[in-house]
Amino acid sequence: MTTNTQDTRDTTSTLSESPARRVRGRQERRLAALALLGGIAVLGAWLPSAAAQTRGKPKKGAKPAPTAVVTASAVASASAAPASSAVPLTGPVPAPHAEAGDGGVRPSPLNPNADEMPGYIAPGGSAAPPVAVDYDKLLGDIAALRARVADVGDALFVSRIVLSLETDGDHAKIGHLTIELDDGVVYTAPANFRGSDPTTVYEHAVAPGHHAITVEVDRKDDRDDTFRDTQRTRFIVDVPKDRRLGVTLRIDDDSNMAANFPSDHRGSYDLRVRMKAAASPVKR
Amino acid sequence: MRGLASQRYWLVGLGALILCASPRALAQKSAPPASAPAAPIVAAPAAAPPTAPLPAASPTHGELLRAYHEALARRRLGSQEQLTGDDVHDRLAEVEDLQRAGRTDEAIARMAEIVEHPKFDPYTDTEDGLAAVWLLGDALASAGAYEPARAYLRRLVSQPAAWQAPATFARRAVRRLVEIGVEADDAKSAVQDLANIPASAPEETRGDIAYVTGRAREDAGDPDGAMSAYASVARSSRFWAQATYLRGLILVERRRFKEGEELFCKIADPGRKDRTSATFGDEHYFAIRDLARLALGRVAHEQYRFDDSRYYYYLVPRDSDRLAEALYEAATSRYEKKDYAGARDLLDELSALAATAGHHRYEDEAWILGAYVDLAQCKFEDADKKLLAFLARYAPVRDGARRIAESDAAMRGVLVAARTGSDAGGAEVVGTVVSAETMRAIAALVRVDPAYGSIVRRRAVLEREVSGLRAALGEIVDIQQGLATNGGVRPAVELARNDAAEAESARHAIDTTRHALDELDAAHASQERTAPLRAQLALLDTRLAQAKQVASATLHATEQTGVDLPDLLRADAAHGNDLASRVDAVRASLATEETRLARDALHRLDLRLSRLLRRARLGRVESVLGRKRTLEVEIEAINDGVIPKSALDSLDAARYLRDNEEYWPFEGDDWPDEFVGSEVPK
Repeated sequence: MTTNTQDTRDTTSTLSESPARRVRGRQERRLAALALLGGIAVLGAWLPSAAAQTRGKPKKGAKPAPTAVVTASAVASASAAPASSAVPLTGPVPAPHAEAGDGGVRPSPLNPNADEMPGYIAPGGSAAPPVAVDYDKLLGDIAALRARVADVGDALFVSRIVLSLETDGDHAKIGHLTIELDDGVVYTAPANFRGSDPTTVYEHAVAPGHHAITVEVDRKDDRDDTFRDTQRTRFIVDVPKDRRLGVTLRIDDDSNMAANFPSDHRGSYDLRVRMKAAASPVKR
Repeated sequence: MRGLASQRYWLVGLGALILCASPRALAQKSAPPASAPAAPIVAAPAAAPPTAPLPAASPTHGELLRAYHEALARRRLGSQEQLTGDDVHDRLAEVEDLQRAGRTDEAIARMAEIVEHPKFDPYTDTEDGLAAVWLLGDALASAGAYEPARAYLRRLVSQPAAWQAPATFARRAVRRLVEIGVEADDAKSAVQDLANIPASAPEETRGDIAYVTGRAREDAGDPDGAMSAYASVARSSRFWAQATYLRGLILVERRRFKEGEELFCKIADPGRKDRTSATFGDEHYFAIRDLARLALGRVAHEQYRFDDSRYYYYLVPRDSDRLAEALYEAATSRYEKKDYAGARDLLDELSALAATAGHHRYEDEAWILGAYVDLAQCKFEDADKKLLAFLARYAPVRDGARRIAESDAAMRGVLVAARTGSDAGGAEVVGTVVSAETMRAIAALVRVDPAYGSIVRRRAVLEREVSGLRAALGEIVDIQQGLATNGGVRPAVELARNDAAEAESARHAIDTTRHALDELDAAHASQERTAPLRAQLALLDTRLAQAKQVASATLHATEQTGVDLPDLLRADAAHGNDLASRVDAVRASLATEETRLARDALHRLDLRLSRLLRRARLGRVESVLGRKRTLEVEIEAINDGVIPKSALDSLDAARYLRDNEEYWPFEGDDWPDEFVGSEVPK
């Protein structure tokens, strides 16, 4: 209902500015002249303050003083408000009065409704209840347990594993990259990781024997993000007793889907995860 | 018009949301005890002993680590050498390197090893000792483990000599505690942690405490208390801009516009250069400054001071993330002022911005506003074209948003793209019914509640820690077997069977199948055929949960107590399994909340686009009426003897030329004696 009223007003107002104004009857012209005189009077009241404002694209340095509340009230009082309704400079400020018609305001047709705002609670409704979980305590417990186990493992095992990572590919963008050791993530690469030289990402004491290293990489093309591929590669390594196993993981990308497929309808993904390992005696 | 006012408050309030961007949804309230999960689907074995075999631990769990050290020492395992000051110093350097490389988990393990070592006690009060405790707290906080992090940092601020000059680590600990309070949206806990800081603490420290106190008072619904706390944040504090801005928001909410504006002006002072400031600030300072300028514009706009608002919006710099917002709102204010040319210029600027930076979150509203500016300028043809194009462009986007809201996975994909700024065109969507371009438009337009980002971050942290927990449990098994075989070598990976991995694999398979069913539904597959599949999937889900419960109960049955190394390991293995079972409940709660917020964001987008589409249709009606009225005016003018411009144009000969013809109009020079070609002179 409100919307319809608004639309009608908009339409009327729009048409009042059309060329029809020139050909209206005499009576209308007289009315327009009267309105013009009224407008001049209002403009007279507005001018002293308006002179301090900028027009169009304002220039820097012409900052209006924050006393403009008084300006707004002056406009309001010039048009309608009685002199006794002067706005105090401090304390709550009453809502300003907007003038209707040509000298006033045309409200935007796009003011959003309250229910389009985040966190809106309908009248009579209530906010969603908080999730009853002890998240912080759980995370603290897990972190402490992990630190304890890592500490004891370091004390007991002499054998060590060192994981290094290297990436190559001109247009490859790493969306997501994790390295797992025995099914637990030990490294998560930051967004858009690039490692042109081998970078050590994990080093820890482990039990001698077989261990699984899993690399999960989600790769995107910097020419078109929609072309992406995900690969999960699992390597089994054998960590000898009392040795330090250096594992270098290299991710090569030579894909050309994003470059060729949109135009030629031909292309290929070529993502390879390679690993090389070398054991050396542990320095005691 | 008053509705307009309240809506604009909302816009100002959105700025506050950016600052207070973390949900209370996960506050530590009424957490169920770890040993009391939801009602089990099947009864656990009756012989299951009680959990938590170890004594109640402190937040740092340091006593458990010390128990390990003592057990290792009794067995003469681990390093038997004395801990020297150089060792501590070297370890500090090592851990700092690890943190710089993003290897936070290793940093925590390396630092906890030394800080909780019995031989560390002589170094507790030394500079390196304090640095070690601070580094451990910082690393834990970086990993999202706020509870132990706060416990270590509290230790630094409550030491007897903590506040003797220069009090370096006490000050750093206060800074970190305040940051944790803000990040975790738990200012109240931060205030409690900092309750005993002496009044003689440095001004910078007092500023931090005052700011977090103000946040806590606001959370508690006490704006007066918050105002007074914010007012005591000195200009030399890094939180001065935030505190001043929040004070301004409180005043504006109370309609004390002038005072609020004065505060915003302090931050937005255009006399400062773009890249320098006379105040101290953290990395958010320039974002706050832009917010303050927007707030000034909105307050002026609210009071119909359109020229002031235009000026303030203009102050938002071109490299600001808020530029689109400022341009759109400035265009709106010019439209309301009836300065249509000004509104058009600003909308053109906004279009140019979109041409260089791609989609922006106001593109739909700017499109409609542009059409309405045309209507106001009586450019009915142009307006109609724009409105038609809008309907053709955004009706599918609205429908796409509705379709995406039907699938949790697709919804999350789009919102992650919207939040992180990645390309939504490549996000996983429901089949192929939603085009990549529509996905990008949705991701650009959807306004994600800041709480959603916080939930997503928490889920990511939880998943990372759970994965680490899995590795830790595997390592415990390795250690136990190493002890049992007296150091013998054995395969550390059982390739044949790994319960945790298999459970994860089964979970993944169930999720994939559910996703496939969502796709079938989205493609309007027959419900009769998909419903049985869904029922079977639910059954499998239930069986998986039952299997996990049975496995957990079996593991609990092996718990023992004691202080020797194997006993401690057994206790930790049981504790780890208990944590793993608690993770499911937390994960489910987070997923539920994430889905609710995601659905809410898409619902709000649906509401907005529906409103704009309705507005576009109404605009078309106006354009038709306008054209009709234009014709009427022309007819009236012709009746009055005034020929309209279009009629004059119709007499123009140039309009009727073909492409290969030229017309040279008579330009007024007439030379009667000129000889032309073969003319015969008269």
